[in-house]
Amino acid sequence: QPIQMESPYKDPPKRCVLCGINVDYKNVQLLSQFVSPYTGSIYGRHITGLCNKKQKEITKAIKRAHVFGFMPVMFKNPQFLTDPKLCNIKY
Amino acid sequence: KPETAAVLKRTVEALMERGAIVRNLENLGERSLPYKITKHKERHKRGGYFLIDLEAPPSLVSPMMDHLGRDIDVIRRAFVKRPVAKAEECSGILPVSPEEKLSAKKN
Repeated sequence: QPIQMESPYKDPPKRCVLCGINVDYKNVQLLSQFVSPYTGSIYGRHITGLCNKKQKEITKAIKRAHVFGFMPVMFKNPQFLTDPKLCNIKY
Repeated sequence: KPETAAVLKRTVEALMERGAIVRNLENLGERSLPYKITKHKERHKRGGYFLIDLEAPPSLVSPMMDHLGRDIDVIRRAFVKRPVAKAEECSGILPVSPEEKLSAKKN
């Protein structure tokens, strides 16, 4: 008789880039990786590829960093322009 | 530098006076601000960042913001809840079936 069990060939659930990383409004480098270098606008979910929770956290942290004077609003900090690319965007 | 020390001392004393327990005071460094900030009729380009870890009743927030607003040496003030170090349970991106995507449910 065949035993009913969950398919053992299933992949583990796909993890987004920030799965397990604590998002803080103070680390401007991490936050700047999800911001456009030309306009300073925050990238949407279809570009960053983050899960629901993390996208919300990142957005809130970026807005906080703007208000508190940690991160520039209209552009990306030139110090972080050469960071590794996390978002799939073609300029 | 003695001025920043004086500002910090003033702030911490004002906090303790209103009954707040100061746990920690961190210096996040002095750097040039991301944008020029005008405060108290002066255009600021550089500033020191400080983080005060404290425990206080919520009724402390408004009078403290008032007090810091009147201080000339304080450029920008803010109160933030201490982030609770909760257990990281990120289960990853769950696959959504097409029927759920088409249903009229929003969030």
